[in-house]
Amino acid sequence: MITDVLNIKDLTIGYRHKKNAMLFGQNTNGRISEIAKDLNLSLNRGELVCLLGPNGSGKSTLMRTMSGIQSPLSGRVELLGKPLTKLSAKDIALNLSVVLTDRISIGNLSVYALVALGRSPYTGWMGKLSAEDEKIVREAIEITGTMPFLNAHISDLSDGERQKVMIARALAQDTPIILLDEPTAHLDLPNRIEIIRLLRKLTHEKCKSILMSTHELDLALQAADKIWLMQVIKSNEKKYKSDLISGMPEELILNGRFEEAFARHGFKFDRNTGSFQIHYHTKGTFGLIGEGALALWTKRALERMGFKVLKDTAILPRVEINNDLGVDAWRYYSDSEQNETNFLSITELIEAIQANHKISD
Amino acid sequence: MPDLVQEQISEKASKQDNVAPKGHPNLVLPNDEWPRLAPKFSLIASLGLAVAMFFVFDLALGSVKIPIGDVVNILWHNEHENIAWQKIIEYIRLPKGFTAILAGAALSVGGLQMQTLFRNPLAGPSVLGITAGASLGVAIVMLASGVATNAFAIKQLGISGSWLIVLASTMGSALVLLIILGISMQIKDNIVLLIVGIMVGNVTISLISVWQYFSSPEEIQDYLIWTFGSLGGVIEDQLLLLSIVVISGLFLSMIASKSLNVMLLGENYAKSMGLSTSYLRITVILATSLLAGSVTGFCGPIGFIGIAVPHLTRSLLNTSDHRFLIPSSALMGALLMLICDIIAQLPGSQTTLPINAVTALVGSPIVIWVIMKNRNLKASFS
Repeated sequence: MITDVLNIKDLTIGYRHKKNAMLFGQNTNGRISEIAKDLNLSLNRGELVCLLGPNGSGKSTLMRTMSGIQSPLSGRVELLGKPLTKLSAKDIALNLSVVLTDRISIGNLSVYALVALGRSPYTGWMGKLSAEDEKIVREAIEITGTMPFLNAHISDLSDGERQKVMIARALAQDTPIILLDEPTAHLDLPNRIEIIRLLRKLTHEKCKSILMSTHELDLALQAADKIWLMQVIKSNEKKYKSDLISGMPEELILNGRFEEAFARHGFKFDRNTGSFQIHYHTKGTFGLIGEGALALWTKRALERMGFKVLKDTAILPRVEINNDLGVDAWRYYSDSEQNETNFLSITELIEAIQANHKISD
Repeated sequence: MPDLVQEQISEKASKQDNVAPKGHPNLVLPNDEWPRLAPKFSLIASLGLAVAMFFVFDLALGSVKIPIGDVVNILWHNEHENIAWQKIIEYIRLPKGFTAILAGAALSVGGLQMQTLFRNPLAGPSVLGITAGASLGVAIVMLASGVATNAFAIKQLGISGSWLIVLASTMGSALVLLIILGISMQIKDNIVLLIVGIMVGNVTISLISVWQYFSSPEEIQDYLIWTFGSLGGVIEDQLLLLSIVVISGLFLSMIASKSLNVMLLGENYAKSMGLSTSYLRITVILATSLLAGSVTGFCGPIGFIGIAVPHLTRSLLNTSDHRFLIPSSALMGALLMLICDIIAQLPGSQTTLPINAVTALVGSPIVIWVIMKNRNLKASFS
């Protein structure tokens, strides 16, 4: 059994401009724009890979090249051991399905009919579904939970429902590999989680290999087996534009490559919390003594106000958390060890701190 | 906010460990409750029945009224004691009725394919300049007769029944088709191709205008009469030729039906399912020009049917599956054309209205009514 279903070997992706074509007022006569060079990656059976990267870093170009819509500048993409360029469109369709960001504009199409279209690489010239085809279509609908709107028209669905239907269509195509281009874009948090859970389930239960591009960093870090992180290189030393690092998400965080990648763009990734620091410390330090959720959220509130919070440090000003009496309580020392105030809600505490620091400002 | 997300995920996970996840994947529908792709057969069958019925009406009505019983009798036994009636049916009304069916079917299926290929509700067989090309061919023949020495000979042949006119219009539409096909090899985008097609059509129409400007009023009148459209000019072996061309066009369309279905998802999805979009484009353009070019040549530029019938058929069948839409559109187009022909004869009078005016006059209100009632034009092309 082959474990790596899709292999990328020395691949360079980008665009070849037409002769005499003009781009941004410059003559790009036959010029080649390389986007990323010498990529060596593989997608394994039953693996969920998240492709991360800012807008314009070449995520879509990579996915287009991997699905055979666009040809590589050099190197090759191998599908089950054979180069993509040697395979017919139908052979590719039997092994690789896609979920695109394209909106389906023709709506007089029921969900069932749309999912059934996924079987078209298998059906005869009239597209008649066999009993086996119908079984696969029904399974795809069942596993994606699209049953409740089976007879609805695609134009009547919400974004989340529509995305699930498009995933069902890809499943009906019954390919070992599924590529998804930003499947969680425009979705609310519950829908985003539901889509990721669904994809996770497909890799576990159906042994699909899934590559999805996304901007949902936190979801990707939690759900992906592997992260491919594309980033734009700022310096002009290299001719190509983007760089790609890959690895298990935890590995990338622990060995600091993740932090390093974002530090270049001026973002601080905190490997202790797994999140980005979005606040600047403008108001000096603040001590915090306490544990658990109470301490975590108090820290967040203080950071939002602009403090650099040092945990478990007896400095001033300081907040101590205790719930010895069975109720949540905050003890606030504003300027001396004697000047303490007790609060029973975080709102009151924060208001008091705000009042104090307005005066001192 | 990874912590919040983490909590939501784990909360969801713990809730759903024992309970069926949202969407009830564990709920399994019994076999007969799953939807079927095919629309009700009775709908298509009743369309076919209606075509047969109106065909007989069409034969019965006209300046000479023939009772329906006698019409059926003449059709069945091929002879009747009233020789005049039999001749009228056999030589005038039967060819005209068949022409109406062929023209209606051809224009409707042509329009349906264009609407799907270009993903545009206003597309019809005329958008790629195919009709305009046919008109140019006819205009060249008719308007050039002023300078040509054989003007009298052309007039002798009659206006719409002439082989020369048919040949000219077919050549005209074929010429425009070749230009469009050539351009479509260069342009990969269907919407750009649509715009180019409309432009080519405009150029063709302008050429006709220039030609008309330098022609005498009598010649323009002949050309104008041709543009009114007529179903009555197709006789005997011309009808055979028209049937062969239209049937091959319909056959080509049926072959493309699966690809047209896949095309509903857009070019990128279509390619990802192994469809060769350029192959489909060439098939559809070829089929449409056979269908629309031949009908325009024989009957003049008949508007409206090609745009309206696909919409009517979609709302009637409530499907977008071309395997059923193509035959149903053909039947619906034939039916509408027969009705228009009956109205054009103004039953009980000696006058006949131009078919081109009637199709729009009758059809537009019907389409507006259907769209207002179902409001699914937007659903078809939102």
